[in-house]
Amino acid sequence: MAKLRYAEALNRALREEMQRDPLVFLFGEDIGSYGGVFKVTRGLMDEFGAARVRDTPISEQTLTAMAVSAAMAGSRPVLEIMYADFMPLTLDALINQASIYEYIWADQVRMPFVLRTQGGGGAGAGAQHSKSLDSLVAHIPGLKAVAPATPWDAYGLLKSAIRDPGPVIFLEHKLLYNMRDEVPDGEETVPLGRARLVREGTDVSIIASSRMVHESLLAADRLAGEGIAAEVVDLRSLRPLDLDTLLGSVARTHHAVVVNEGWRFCGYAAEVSATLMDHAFDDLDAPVARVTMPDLPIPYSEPLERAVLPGPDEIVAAVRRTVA
Amino acid sequence: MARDITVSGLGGEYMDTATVVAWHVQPGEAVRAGDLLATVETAKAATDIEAPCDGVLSEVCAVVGEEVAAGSVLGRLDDGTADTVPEADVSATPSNSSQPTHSDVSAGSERSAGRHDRVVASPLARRVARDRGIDLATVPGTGPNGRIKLRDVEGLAGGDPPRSATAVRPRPTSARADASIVLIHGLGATPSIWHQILPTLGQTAARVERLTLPGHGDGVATERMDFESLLDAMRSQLGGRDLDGVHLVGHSLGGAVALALADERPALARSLTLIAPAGLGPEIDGAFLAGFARATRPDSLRPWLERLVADPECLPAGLAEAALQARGAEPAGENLRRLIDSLFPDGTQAFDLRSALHRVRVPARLVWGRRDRIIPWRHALAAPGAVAMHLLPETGHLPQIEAPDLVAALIQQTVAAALAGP
Repeated sequence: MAKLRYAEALNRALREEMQRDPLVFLFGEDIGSYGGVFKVTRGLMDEFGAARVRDTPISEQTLTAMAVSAAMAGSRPVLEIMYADFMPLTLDALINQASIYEYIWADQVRMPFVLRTQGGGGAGAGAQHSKSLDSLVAHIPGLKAVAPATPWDAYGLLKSAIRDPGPVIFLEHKLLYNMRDEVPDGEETVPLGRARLVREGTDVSIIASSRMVHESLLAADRLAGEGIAAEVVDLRSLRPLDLDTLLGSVARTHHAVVVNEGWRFCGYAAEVSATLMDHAFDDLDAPVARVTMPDLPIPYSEPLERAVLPGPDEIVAAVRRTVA
Repeated sequence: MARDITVSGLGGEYMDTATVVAWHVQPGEAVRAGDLLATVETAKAATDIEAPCDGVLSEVCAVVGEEVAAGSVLGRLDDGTADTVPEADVSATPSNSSQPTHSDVSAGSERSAGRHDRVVASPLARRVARDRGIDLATVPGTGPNGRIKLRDVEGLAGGDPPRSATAVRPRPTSARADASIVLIHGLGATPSIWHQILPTLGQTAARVERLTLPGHGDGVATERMDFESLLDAMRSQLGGRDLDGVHLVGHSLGGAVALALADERPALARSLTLIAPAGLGPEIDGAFLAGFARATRPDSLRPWLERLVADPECLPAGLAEAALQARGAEPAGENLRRLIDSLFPDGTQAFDLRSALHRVRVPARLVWGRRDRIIPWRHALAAPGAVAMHLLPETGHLPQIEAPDLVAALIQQTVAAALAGP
């Protein structure tokens, strides 16, 4: 089984889908001749030409409206928005067009496009280039949102996202691009809406996505030293939420800690937490805990950034409080 | 037996007497342990008096306005056990007591004092206690703020302590009961094709899911109607649920779809039951496909439907009408024609899943009618030795309608074989 970097796994998925389906094309800022600022699209312009891998001017609002239009016209665009922090510029096309056109036009149009972007802190990129805005997109009915934590899932989920008949927001993490791990050799997709049990445990379910999965695994290692067996669930898809897997896990452990790199107030972790209370109340032996970014800008200073980002320390502390 | 309702816990200065402010329960009324019975007021604060046990208020000893000493008896509860208070006492009491009215409740009588007496327990501990008849008021809590947690009720009230989560869950825990069966219908059909075998399957599996092919029934047609788009649609219908390890059942084209799904994702299927599946050979009744797709009226559709079965008598009444309706909005049958054009050009099965059938590693079963006039039963001979084969005499292309009991039993056997393991 090949080991690829997360960025390479994405590149392979894009290449294979473009080979498989001539309707798939890419566009975005610096994705063509430069190969993308994180090199996800490296080599694709050479292989597929400038008509299918398009460099665009800097206007996320226009680009997203283009994706909507191209999808309506029958192609399968894959748009790259360089930083998740720029997602606010895409929102009109997402909220007022992409997510509702199938409804408004009574199924006369389809909206098969993927908006790829990357977010997250830890790279010293400052308050305008480090955010995790999961809840911003997961909030919108009609959109799917995925956030792969591994090269395997990056590969398999991107293929599923491109093949999906509706709009999918694909949230990558800048600190994961260099993570190298196994990717399936053959054609294999990862279905949307399906979480993955990464580590089994009996005492608490740590529910995370994207880079926070790895932070949760570090926390689980430390907790094991204290005699606490933590289960780690990688959501993979933020929406639709794989409720069955979550409920199954909480029914085993009776304790849940939700970890999300985004802000706390009205955040994604709040949604998961409330959903667990709705569906698993009688399975819970303690309130569901959240581990999130505090409601602050993300500092440029490295020590300060480290201080605000959730990590194993915060997760371990939340687990201890929960199982107390 | 009568249990005293007393004024206790009034410790502190100026707390040696209390005045009854209100009775919240009428004599003869049933209460549960912890229910609010009365409010009394001391020099410092109003205090709620809660029922010490389940029972019926049998006697009121201190009426509203009466001042009583700490520890004295306000009234009595009949807890329903032996040595009951004579009924006469109960009926005699109301006339003696002045009934509290709303205005009797003083402004200071909020339930602020109740916090200390309220049982604080986790939802799970409450559920376990309820299931076993444990009175949480008697259980000391060891969690934060004295919260009663699962560990505090485990092992109480006899019975086996819930060592593991599964022991606590009231849900079915046997592998059999956890099984999920997923059914995929065939070309031009809808999930209602499974109608007759559903009740039996429901006894076998915790969940029976019926998927809908795109462009069929309420399944939204996809942009392209080809085999891959069918798989896409099935993946997304499966995608929202954690359905790995399901027992896949497919009929005709749905059989081919089930086989392809199981092949691309081995973890998906724990077992496979294919009923007259497509994909195992090139032959298919092209005249049927053309006529079936072209039909726009029940009269022109009915003869083709009759070709589906060995004995037309077994077709449900109104099937032709329902089948036409299932083709969706205008243009009628357009989706169906596009699909047939893509999958079965020139009356030939243009896709081949025989190698996929050879890769199946879970219990698998083929069910085929010997009088199938749509897809020849001899395609079953393509199966490798490990796949079970059932050739049904006097049966056509719809075994689940023509021989529902047998088909349901065969699906159950496939599921059972998977659950039993190798």
